[in-house]
Order: sequence, then structure tokens, then C-alpha cells
Amino acid sequence: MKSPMKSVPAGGKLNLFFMEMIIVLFFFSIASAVILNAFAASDRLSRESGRLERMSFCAQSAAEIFSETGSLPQTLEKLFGSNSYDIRGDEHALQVRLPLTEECAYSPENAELYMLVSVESEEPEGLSEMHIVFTDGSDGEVLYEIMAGAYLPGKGTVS
Amino acid sequence: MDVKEKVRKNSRPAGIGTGYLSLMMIFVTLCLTALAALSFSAAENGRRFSVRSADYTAEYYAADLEAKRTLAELDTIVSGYSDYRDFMLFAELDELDLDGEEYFILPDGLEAFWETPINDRQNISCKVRFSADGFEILDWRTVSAGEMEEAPLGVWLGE
Amino acid sequence: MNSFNSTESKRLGETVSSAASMTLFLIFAVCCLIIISVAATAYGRISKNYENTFDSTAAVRYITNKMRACGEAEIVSESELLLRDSGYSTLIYQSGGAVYERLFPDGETPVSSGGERLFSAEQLIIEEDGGLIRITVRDGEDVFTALCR
Repeated sequence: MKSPMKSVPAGGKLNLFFMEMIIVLFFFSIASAVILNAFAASDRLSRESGRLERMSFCAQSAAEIFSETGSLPQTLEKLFGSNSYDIRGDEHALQVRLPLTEECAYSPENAELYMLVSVESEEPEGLSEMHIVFTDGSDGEVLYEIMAGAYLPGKGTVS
Repeated sequence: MDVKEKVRKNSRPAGIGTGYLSLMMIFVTLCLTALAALSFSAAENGRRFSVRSADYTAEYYAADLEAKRTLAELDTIVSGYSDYRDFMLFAELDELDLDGEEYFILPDGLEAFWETPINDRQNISCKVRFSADGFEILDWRTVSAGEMEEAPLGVWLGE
Repeated sequence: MNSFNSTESKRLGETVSSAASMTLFLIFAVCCLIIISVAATAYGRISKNYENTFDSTAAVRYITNKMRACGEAEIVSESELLLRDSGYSTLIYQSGGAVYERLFPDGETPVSSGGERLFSAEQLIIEEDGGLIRITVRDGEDVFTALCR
């Protein structure tokens, strides 16, 4: 019985070409998968670093406002505008969970990440500590954390 | 042998020669790998910079909070005294054991100077004046943690 | 006659096969070119994004760090900030798509020219915001804002 390969015209060269193509495509697809992963990782890293920068600046602004005002509602209002924030707690400890976009803009409809802000009063009177935690909107992973404080006893001036 | 058969045997083989595909794949893979490596390197550099910057921000505000705690403690101690020359006041202040602490008695108040470390390289230098009216922050700035050494310049004096 | 037909059909088959292989080769070559151009575009985008982000964030951080280390900060204009210290002042300003810095000894009037180029930035906005200073830097599509005392 004749081999089907030999029945093809100029079989030797052409079959060699097709075989080479199959091998090349096989290796190329493997290499492409690896390279595509590298590109995807680069893109993800790039977006993550931009998001981290925004979170860091957002936390810095919150810390600065809190340092000046010592008040959580005022800090949120100045940072994200006048909205109805669900602030829970008593006069010694307040907490709020804010849904934010990746650009760190307040967005209850599109929560890509969450900013958890808690404020606790400390001794002596006038000293309060603010804890800001950014978490991922999908898996709740902690992305960035910062502690800040304010000391406004009502008798001193902060210049 | 038939003439036509002879012509067919002597003519160049049809299609693409062997090896061109492999060469092309190697070239393309190298190009893609180089681009992917450059992208990843840029993204990784950006991420490292962002992480370092965000960490520094967290360190700064943690040190700022610590400095405010110190300020609150100092304020509580100093406000318990009307005479700033009272040695008991200084005994209490010494117990705080602050970094680089210095106190200056003024005719109408007390000036306190201390440093709170941010990291190995930087401190927050604080200078606060306490008086009967409360306290006033005179200076609250970051300074280098390393002391400036008065080293002579290496100038040739002709000797 | 049969031999002639057989040879002709072989030659036809050969031609078709070589055309097919050539077409496949061309398709592969075109795909490779497209892939390289897509990869180059992706690299360009990532690289540009990195540069823009780096320049704008570094500018904001540099200015805030300078403000934290200086004695007094004064807003001269929307894109000029004067940081006073003992013995000298530092003027940070934006001009011609970049942020510059220049030192002036006490007694000299600060002018926004001839400084050292720090970062590229299309826009620098410095404004007072309720006792704090708001610094906004824009480079490309990236805009970063931070408040500082």
C-alpha cells in the first residue's frame, strides 16, 4: 500500500513545509501565550501602580483635612463633596465604608474599591486617631493602609 | 526517462523553502519578548516607585500621629502647672524621654523641641510654645535624621 | 495520452499546493507583522502611561515633601509656589510643559525663569483650600491631586 504522503505531488518538499508550519505554529502559540501573559501582567501592574498612587493621595488629603478639622463628617465632605454617608458609631468611635472608583471618586453605583475610615478618640481629650484602609471591591484584599491623627483640644491653635 | 519527467526533476521545488518559517518565528518571538520585557520592566519600575512613595506617606502620617500624641502628653503635663520653672514639671517632662528633647523657659511660657522619627533617614522636628492661653505650633517639619558633620573641605592649601 | 494527463494533473496539483503553501506563508507573515505592531503599541501605551504617571505623581510628591520640610509656603500665583526658609527661598513653578525649581537668597525678588527643570507637567495648579494647599498636576491624561499643610 502506498503512503498517502507520497501520493501528494512534490510530496517531499510540500509535506516538509506543512510539517514545519505545524511545528512553528505549535511553538509560536506557546511563546505567544507566555508573551501575552507578560503584557497582561505589565498592564495590570501599570494600572495597580496608578491606583495605589491615587489611594495614597486620597489618604494623604483625608489625613490633612482630618488633622485640621478633627472631624470625620467634615473630612468626608471636603474630600468627596456633600453626600449622605453612612457613618456609624458613637462620639468615641466612628466608622464609614465608602464605595470608590479606581480614580478614588465616591461612587455608590460602581464600587471598584472600598475605603474604610474609622476614627477613635484617645486620651487626653482632643486627640483622635484616624485609620484608613483601602480594600479591593471584588475580593476584599487590603490594598493600602494609613494611620493619621489630630490633636485639637479646643484651646490651641494649629498653625 | 521522459523529457517532461526530466524537466520536473531538475526544476526548483515548488512552494516555500524549508527554514524560512522557523527563522521568521524566531525573529518575531525575539521581537515580542524584547517588547514584553521592556513593558514589564517599565511597569515594575512604576509599581516599585508607587509602593515606595505610598509607604513613605504611611510612614510620615504614622510619625505625625506619634508626634501629635507627644504633643498631647506635653500639653496635659504643662497645663497642670502655672509656674514653668517648677522642677516637678521638668521631672515629669524628663519621664517622657523624647528624642532630641529640649525645653526653654520663657517669661510667659515654655518652648519644647523634640523629634519624632519617620524612618531611618528622616524625622519630624517639632517646636511648640506652651503658655497660659494654650499651645502654639512654631515649627512642624521634616528634617534629615543624619547629623550634619562639620567636615573641612578638601582644599589644597599649597603645603 | 494517459501518461500526459497524469503528468498534467500532477503539475496542477503541485501548482495548487505551492500556491496554498505560499498563501499560508503570507498569512503567517501578515499575522506576525500585526502581532508585532500590536505589541509595539501596547509597549508604547504602557511606557507612556508609566512616564505620565511617574512625572505627575513625582511632581506632587516632590512639592508636598518640600512643603513639609520648609518653614512657610506662600502661593504666588496659580502655578507658582514660594517656599521660605532661613536664608533662602525656593520658587516652584510651571512653564513650557515642565515644573521648575529655583533658589533665591533672602532679599532677592523671586522670578519664575531660569530654574532647574524637575518633571514634565502640562499643568500645575496650586490653590488655597480652607487652610490647606491643594496641588494638582496634569501630564497627559493623568491628573493627580493632593492636599498639604
